[in-house]
Amino acid sequence: MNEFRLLARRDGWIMANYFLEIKHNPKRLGVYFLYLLWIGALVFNMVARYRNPTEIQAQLGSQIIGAGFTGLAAAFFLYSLYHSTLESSTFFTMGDLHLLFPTPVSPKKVLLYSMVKQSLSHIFLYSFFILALMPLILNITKVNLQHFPFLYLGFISLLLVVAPLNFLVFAIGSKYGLHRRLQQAVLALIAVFTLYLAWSIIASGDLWQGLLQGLNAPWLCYLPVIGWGKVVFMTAVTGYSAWSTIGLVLQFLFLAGCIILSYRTADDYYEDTLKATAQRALRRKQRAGIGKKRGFSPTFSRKNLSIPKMGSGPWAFLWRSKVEYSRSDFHPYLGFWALIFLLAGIAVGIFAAKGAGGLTAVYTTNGIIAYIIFFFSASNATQHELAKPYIFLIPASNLLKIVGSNLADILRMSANILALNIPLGILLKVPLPTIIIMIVFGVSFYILNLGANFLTRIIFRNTLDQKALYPLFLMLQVLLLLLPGAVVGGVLAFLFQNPALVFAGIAVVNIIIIGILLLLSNKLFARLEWT
Amino acid sequence: MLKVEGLTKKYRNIVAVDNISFTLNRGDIAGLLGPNGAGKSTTIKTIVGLLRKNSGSITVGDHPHTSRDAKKKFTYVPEAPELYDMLTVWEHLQFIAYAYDVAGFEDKAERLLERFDLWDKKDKLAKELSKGMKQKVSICCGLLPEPLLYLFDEPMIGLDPKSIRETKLIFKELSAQQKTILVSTHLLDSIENLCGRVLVLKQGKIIVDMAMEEMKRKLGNSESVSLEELFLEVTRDE
Repeated sequence: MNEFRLLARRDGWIMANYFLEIKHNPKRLGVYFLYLLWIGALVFNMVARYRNPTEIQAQLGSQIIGAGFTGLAAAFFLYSLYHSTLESSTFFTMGDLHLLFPTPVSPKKVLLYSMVKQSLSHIFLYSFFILALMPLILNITKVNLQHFPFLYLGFISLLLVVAPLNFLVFAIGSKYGLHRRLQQAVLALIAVFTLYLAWSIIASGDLWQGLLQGLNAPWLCYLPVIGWGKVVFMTAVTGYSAWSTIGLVLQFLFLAGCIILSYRTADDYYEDTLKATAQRALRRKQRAGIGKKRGFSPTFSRKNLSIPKMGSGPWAFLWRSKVEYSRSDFHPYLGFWALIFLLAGIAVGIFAAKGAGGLTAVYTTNGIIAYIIFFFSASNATQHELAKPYIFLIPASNLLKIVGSNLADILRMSANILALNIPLGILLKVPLPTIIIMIVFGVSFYILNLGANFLTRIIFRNTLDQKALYPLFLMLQVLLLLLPGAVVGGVLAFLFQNPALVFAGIAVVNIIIIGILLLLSNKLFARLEWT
Repeated sequence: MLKVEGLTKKYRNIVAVDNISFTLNRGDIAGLLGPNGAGKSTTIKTIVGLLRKNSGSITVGDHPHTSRDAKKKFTYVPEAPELYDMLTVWEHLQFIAYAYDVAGFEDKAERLLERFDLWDKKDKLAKELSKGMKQKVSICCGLLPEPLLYLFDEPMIGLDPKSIRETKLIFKELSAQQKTILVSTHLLDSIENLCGRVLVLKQGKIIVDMAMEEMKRKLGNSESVSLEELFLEVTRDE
C-alpha cells in the first residue's frame, strides 16, 4: 500500500473511532458544548467590548500591539531555537515509536506526513488563541475586520514555523555534530537582540518609549519569521499594502522550506524524537491526572543529598517532597519561582510607584496570581500523590496524610506570595494589615485549590472523565468553592466601601471551607480509589 | 540472518553497548540475557533502528539494518507495549498488515487473536485494554507479518500463564519454520527449553556467547542445572 495512504488510513480510523466513542458515550458532547459556549463567550466579549478608539489612542495602540507582537514573537522564536539545540521537537506518538518506526515505511515519508498533519491541525487549534486575544486587541486599537485573516495568518505562520524549524536545527546538529556550534550561534543571536533593545532604551532615555521604538523599528520587518509575521499580523491594524501579501508568501515559503529541508536531511531521526515523544506522552498523562507533575524549574539536578528524617508515617511525604525540591531547585522551600515572584513584586512596585494607583496594583497583582493558581494548580501535589499507592498504604490518619503530602507545596507557595507582597508593601507603602490580608488570601486560595482537586478526584473517578470534563471541573470549582468567598467578600466591600475587604472576605470563607474539608477528610478519603 | 559487528552505542559519555559482535543464522533462537542495565534493550533497539549506533555494522539478511529491505525481514515487540490509543485491536493488526504488505492477513490475524484470547476484544480501543492485553496485541502485531527475524524485548512481562505458554509454543513453531528469534528476557525459566543459544551481556559487553549445551558443559554442570543457576554463575561479580 502507498505509504501516505497507509498513514492517512490510520488517521481515518482514529477519527472514526473518536466519533464512535462520542456515539457510545454522548456525555462527551456536553464537553464540546461547553467549549462552544466558551468560544461563543469569547466572540461575544469581542463584539460587546468593541469601541471605537480615537485616532491618537488607535495610533498608540497600534504601536503597542506591534511592539508586543515583535517582543513576544522574538522571545518565543529565540527560546524555541535555543531549545532546539538541546532537544528535537516531535510530531509523533508513543504508538508511532513502537509500531510505525520499526516497519518498512520510509522514515522520510513518515516525517513529511506527520509535519504536514501537525501544521494543518495547528492552523485550526491556534485559532482559539486569536479569538481569546481579540478583545484585548480591540480594546487597544482599531482593527479592520476585513483584514482579520491577515492578523490570524500572521500569528499562525509564526507558530507553524517553529516545530519544523526546531526539528531541522536538531537534525542538522545530530547529523553533522554541530549541536554546540548551533547553540553558540543562537546564544549570540539572543545576545544581539538583547543588546539592541538595551541600546534602544538607553538612546531614548525612557524604558517604555525605548521598547516601543526598538520593537517597532522598520528594519525588523525584514527579519524572517518574526518580521514577516509582524507585517502580515499588523495588516489588520495598519492597513493593507503589497508587503502584506509578500510577507505572507515569504512566511509560507519559509515554512515549506523548513519542511522540505527536514525531509531531505532527516533519514535517521528516530532516536532524536524518542525523548521528546516520551515527554509529550507524559504531559498527556499528566493532563489526565495520571502522571507525575512538578512545577517548572529550569535549575539543576543534584544527586548527592542528605536530608534528615522528618518524622515517621505521613511525614515521610514531607521528607520526600523536600528531597525532590532540594534536588531540583535552589532550596526546598525557596525556589526558582520565589525569585520570579520577588522580581515581579519589585517590578510592579517600581512601576506602580511612578503612577497613582498603588493599592490597585497590589489588588490586581494578587488577583492575577489567584487567577493563575486557579488555572494551573489543577493537577499538583494531591494528584501527584494520588497517582501512587503510598498515600493509600502508609498507616496514618487521613488528615495527617493530606497535610504531610501538601505541606511542602503550601510552604513553597507561601514563600512565593510573601516574596511578591513584601516588596509591593515596602515600595507602595501599603498598610501592613492590607499586605497580611493579601498574603492570607493567596495562601488560602492555593490550599483551597488543592482541596478542590481532591474533590474532583472523588466526583469524577474515571481519569478519562477527568480529562474530558476539565471545563466542567473548573465551573464546579468556581461554583462550590470560589463563589461563596466572592459573594461574602463583595458584600463586605460594598458595605464598608473598602476593596481590601473583598480579599479578606474570600480569605475567611476559604479558611472555613478548608476547615470543613479537613474535618470531612476521613469520609472523603474513604471514597478515593487508586487508579 | 542477523549480523552484528563491533556494535557500540553510547548515551553521551556512557557506553551502553561496548563493541559487541554476534551472528544469528536461520532457525536460531537466541536468548539475550543480562542483569538490569546490561544493554539488552539498547542492543535490540539499535538493531531495530530506533537508536543510532556509534560504530559497528548491523545487517539483516545482508541489508543494512535501517534499509527498507532489512525492515521487511524483521519485526519488533517492545518491552513496554505502546499502542495507538484510538485504534481498535483489529485495526492495529490491519495497520501492520498494510505496513508490511501482508497478503490475506484476515485469517492469520484471526488465528493469532484466538490463540491469545483476544478475539472477543478485537473491537476494543487500545486505551481500554489492560497492560497484559496490550502486550498480547503487541506480540500479535509482531507475529502477523511472518518475517524471517523476530526481535522480542521482554515479551513475557505481564502475560498470563496461557499466553506465556502460547508464546513459547509459537517460538518453537517459528524455529521449526527456520525463522530466527532474538529474545531478551529476565524470565529465564520461560526460555530455558527454547533457546539453543545464549548471549549474556554485562556492562555492555558480551561475556558469554555459546550454545546452551556447551555452556552447561563448560561450567562443568550436569543436565539438571537450570539456566537461572548458569546465569547467576556467569554474571557473578568477581
